[in-house]
Amino acid sequence: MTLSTDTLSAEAIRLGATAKDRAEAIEQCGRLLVDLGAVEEPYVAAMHEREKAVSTFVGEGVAIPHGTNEARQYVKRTQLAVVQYPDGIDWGAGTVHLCVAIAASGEEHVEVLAALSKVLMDEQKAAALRTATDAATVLSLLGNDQQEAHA
Amino acid sequence: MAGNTFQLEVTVGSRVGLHARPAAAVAGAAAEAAQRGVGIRIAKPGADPVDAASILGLMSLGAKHGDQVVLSTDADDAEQAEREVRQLAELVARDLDAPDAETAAKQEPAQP
Repeated sequence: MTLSTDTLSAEAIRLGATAKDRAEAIEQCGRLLVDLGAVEEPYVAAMHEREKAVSTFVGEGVAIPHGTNEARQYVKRTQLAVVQYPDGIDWGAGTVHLCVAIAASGEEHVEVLAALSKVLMDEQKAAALRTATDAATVLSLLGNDQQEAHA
Repeated sequence: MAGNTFQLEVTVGSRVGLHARPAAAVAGAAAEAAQRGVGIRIAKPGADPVDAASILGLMSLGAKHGDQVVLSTDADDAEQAEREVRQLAELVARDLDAPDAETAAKQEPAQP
C-alpha cells in the first residue's frame, strides 16, 4: 500500500483552515471526504462517534479522524484528506495543527495508517506538514517516504 | 547492562489490528511500563523495532489481526523486564476492540 495519487490529491488538501473546536474540525474533515465522493453522508457522524470513543490524536500535532468499523460500509473508495489548522485546535491530549482524515475499508485501513505513520514519525516531515503553505509540498512529503519505504 | 534483552513473540488479538483503540491501549500501557523503568519495543519479526509507547510507532507496523509481533526490552532488572513484557504481550494478544476492553482504552493516549 502506498499513499498514491489515487489516495491523496491536491483537491483533498485544505491549508490555512480554521475551526473553533475539535467537533467543527471533524465536521470539516468529514465534509471534505463527502465532497470528494469518497464516503457517503453517514460516515461523517461515524467520525464524530469514533472520536468520542477514542481520540484520534496521534502526537506530532496530528490527528487522524476516521469512522468506526461499522461505518466502513459507507466508504466508496480509499481516500485521504488533509486539513491544516495553523492556529491549532485543542484536541484534549494535545494541540492539533494537522488533520489527516481517512476513508478506507477493510484491511486497507491498517495499511494506509501504517504508510501515513511512517511519514509522521519523521519529526522534520511532520513539522513541514504542519507548516506547509502549498499543496504540492504536502503531496511530496506524503509521497516521498513511500519511495524510501519501498526501496 | 547491554546484552540482557528479553523478547517475546505474540499474536495480535484485536480484530481491527493494532490501530485506533487497541493502539491507544497498548501505547498507554507501554508508557506506564516505561515510567517504571522498562522501555518496551515492538516490531514485526525481522524488521526494525519501534517504541511500543508511541501510537504512531504501533500504527507504522501495520499489524493486522493474527499477525506476529515481537516485544523486547533491555531493562536492567531482568525479572521486572520479563514481567512487564509479558503483561504488555497479554494486552496485545487480547481483542482490545471488544466491548469489555472499553475501560482499558479509556485512558488518554500517550505522547509518542
